[in-house]
Amino acid sequence: MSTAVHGHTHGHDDHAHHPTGLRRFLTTTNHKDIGTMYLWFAFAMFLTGGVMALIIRAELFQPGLQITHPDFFNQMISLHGLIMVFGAIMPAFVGFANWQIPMMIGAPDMAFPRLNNWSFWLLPPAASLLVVSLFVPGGAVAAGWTLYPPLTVQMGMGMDLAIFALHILGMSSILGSINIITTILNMRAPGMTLMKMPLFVWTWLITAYLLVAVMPVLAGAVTMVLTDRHFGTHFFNPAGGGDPVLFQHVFWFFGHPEVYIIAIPAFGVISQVIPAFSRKPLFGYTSMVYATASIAILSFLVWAHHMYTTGIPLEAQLYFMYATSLIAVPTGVKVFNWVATMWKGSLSFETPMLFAIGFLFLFTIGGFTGLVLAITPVDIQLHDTYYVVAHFHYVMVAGALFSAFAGIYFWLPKWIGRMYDEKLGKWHFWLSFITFNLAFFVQHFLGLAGMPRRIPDYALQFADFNMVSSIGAFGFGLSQLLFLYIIVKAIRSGEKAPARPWEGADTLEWTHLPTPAPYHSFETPPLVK
Amino acid sequence: MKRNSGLTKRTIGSRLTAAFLAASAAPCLAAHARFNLQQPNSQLGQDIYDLHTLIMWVCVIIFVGVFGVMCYAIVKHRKSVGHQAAHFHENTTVEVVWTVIPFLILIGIAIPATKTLIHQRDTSGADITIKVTGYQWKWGYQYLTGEGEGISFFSMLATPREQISGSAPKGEHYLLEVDQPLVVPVGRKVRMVVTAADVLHAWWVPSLAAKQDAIPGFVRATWFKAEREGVYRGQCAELCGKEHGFMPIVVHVLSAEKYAQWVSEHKPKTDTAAVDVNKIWTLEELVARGEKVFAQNCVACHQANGMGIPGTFPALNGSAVVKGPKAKQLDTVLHGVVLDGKPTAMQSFAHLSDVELAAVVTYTRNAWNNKSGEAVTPADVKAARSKSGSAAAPAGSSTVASVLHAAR
Amino acid sequence: MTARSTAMNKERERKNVRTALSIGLVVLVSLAYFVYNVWQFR
Repeated sequence: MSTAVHGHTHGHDDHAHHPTGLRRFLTTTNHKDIGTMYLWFAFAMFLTGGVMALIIRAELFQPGLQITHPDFFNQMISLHGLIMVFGAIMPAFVGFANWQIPMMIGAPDMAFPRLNNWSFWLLPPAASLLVVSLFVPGGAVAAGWTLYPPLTVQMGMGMDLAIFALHILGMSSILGSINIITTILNMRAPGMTLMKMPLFVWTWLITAYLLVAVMPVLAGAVTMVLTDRHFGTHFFNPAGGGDPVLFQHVFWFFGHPEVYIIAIPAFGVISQVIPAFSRKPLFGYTSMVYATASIAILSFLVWAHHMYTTGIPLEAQLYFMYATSLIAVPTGVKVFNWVATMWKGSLSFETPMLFAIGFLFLFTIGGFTGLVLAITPVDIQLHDTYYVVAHFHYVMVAGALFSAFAGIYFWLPKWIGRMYDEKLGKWHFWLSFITFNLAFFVQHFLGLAGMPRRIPDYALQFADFNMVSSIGAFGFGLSQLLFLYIIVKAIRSGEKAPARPWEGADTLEWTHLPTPAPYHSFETPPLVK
Repeated sequence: MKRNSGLTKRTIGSRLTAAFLAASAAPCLAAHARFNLQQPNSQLGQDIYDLHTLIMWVCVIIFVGVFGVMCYAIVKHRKSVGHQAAHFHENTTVEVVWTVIPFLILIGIAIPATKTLIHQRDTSGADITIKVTGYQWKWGYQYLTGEGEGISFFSMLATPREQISGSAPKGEHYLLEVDQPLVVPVGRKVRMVVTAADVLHAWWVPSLAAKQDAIPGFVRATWFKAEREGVYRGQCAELCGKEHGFMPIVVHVLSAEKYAQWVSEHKPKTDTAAVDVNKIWTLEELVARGEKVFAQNCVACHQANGMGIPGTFPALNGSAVVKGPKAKQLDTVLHGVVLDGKPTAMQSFAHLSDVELAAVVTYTRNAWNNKSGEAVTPADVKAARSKSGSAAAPAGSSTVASVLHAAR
Repeated sequence: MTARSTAMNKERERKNVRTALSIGLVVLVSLAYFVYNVWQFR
């Protein structure tokens, strides 16, 4: 890909003039500080949402109601979804974008550093609203993360807090995205043409456009719920001439691109990690860019495949079935390209590569079940069952989360100048991989056999697989504490990282910056040939 | 499309399976698959089952192919065995090949899927039409046309609360049993027109391959044609609030003769409520009856001890409404509670009969510490109803004709 | 701070603002159009 002309190196030491302690992080405009904050925030939310997941799995360990009241159970499933999607996965990848995009394109910082600070500091209040909503009268939103009315109109004050939280999160995402688009379009180093950019940067450019396009739609949908609840409108109330299904159309017009907002940066990380550990350039760079763009465009045209059972007309079902199946083509191209990158490489299997291969395996399974669910008659059987739960956890957890792990292990030496414990990293991968499959693979069987999702109690024939799933889920949750330990250990006492810890990594941050990266990097842009 | 082509094309295999099952299975045909879709009991279900199998095999073959190549690379092209990296990174021919081939495979899947879908959405030519209404949290059935026309009833969870809380052992059909199952004849096309009274629900019986969201204010249709007699079980499939996991569906598929008998037994039953009104009820009778009604309709929120869930569902024990004038309490159960212009979890229970409402109101006014000693009679309920004009008929007031017209 | 500011030349900062404003404008116009359309349904 891009071979950079070897320019100057930063001979001078880190000359950071910034306040220390809390004020440093409150007032920072540095993309590296902000990236770090995004990542820690995401991890905190990941643990919060994870505890909720474990409450869900503990209740489902055996038939009968043991530890939760059904209403609290519904609050758990709703908040788990909202917190994991908006609080954990999305901010994690924004954290990667903050750290990596300026370094990968040879820019000194993001285009709007102060805006960047604000984009981050919008998140903690929004997340607090979601968590605090558990303690208001009536409890948190209990209508699922999809917030379908009319159920959302019955909710208590927790629903209003969730709506405000989504407004704030949406604002943060839009501002962050505009910042990212501007940075990528305007701040590239001389010679860094669009088609020379690392694929991670490309995926974020596309993701940022998706975010700008759909976050206002979500804001619109939840605002309509808000006015229906309090200001006498009847958008979704049939008694006043409204239509509950209208919400689903609007929500999924946001919701389906949202799936790719989460998946596409994950593709980007994987596209950096696999070539680095194959010691071979990414196969089919151009087709990867086009495939990513096609996926993004198609994602706007398939929303109603989440609504096959609402009774949309036959013609619409046929169209959405064909359009959805079509997404399998560019997705397949990406998987084939990754495998071709590994083919005849010189492979080594450090932790980032293990997570990337794990991603490849499990994301492909999630893609295949997605194809099964795209086929309308089959989906009508499987809609709203555990099969769907299994499907999207393969895409969200084994897809996005595994790729985030791959990215963190991959770039951690560059960020902190220290190595993580390779042996423990491998333990983390294998524990996560095995327990993840234990937790979610059996859910395919539960869904096929007819277990609906979002139920706190179930019939006896589902008992054994639910028990397996709960054991897997607890194992997966505990494995993530090992991850926290590995990171803290690396920061406090990790071995000093060499300048190029990965011999196959060839993007600007590895070739043109010392390790760890200085507080201000690329104040003079490098020249890229 | 020829609608019945599916039936004539049935494979010998599925005929044999059907025959075997019909001969061997007891009336309770709970063919619970462990690793796959439930044993279908209709041609449509079989088509979907076969379609799923086809797609699974396509996926398995591609998966094995792609990851076979990857695993070969992992074993042979590793640095630790001294493999040197090649430097190729582009090949337009293979890119075109692996774009076009998946596209062709998708067309291969889309063709049978389209046929099945067109078959599935054709609700015309039904022998029997039944309107199903989702309530928080039970189902209402109303036979609109065909044999059994005029029958209507509610169907709700029959599993005792003690089994759910764990204080009694769980029965064989835990959470999948109802007080009054839906009854249909075998081999007849049954069209279900589906709607809801409050929030979204979804009517789903897996082995009959029928799932349809129930949407308040709108009527949507699905259909099934059961091929074997037996008992088939399903559940609500769309989150509808607290008791979403506790509103199962049970369908009894009977032979034509047994169905005719069932119809003759149940047709007159719809008039019994009217007879009851003229009966003079004692306080004890009302309380006893009311306790049952309470257990079916109210206990989920207000709890058996009448204390509700603090902060979420109000207590009835000592409640100002329950201890106050009857009229206010009757108004509450007939119309539900609306706060700030939006409905609350306390919905209208106007669909219960006068006797049931009188009984449950009397029960709450005499249970726990509410010892009023006063009875609310069915006549009181009737009077309260006529004052406000809320009819007792289940499933709303829409006429058969308008429902049939609106359903698509 | 100062080092970074000098590194970013003024012209590029103006270009950044133009880019961001044009994206923001598209978002706002679409949002206004969406609200206008939806308002017809209330």
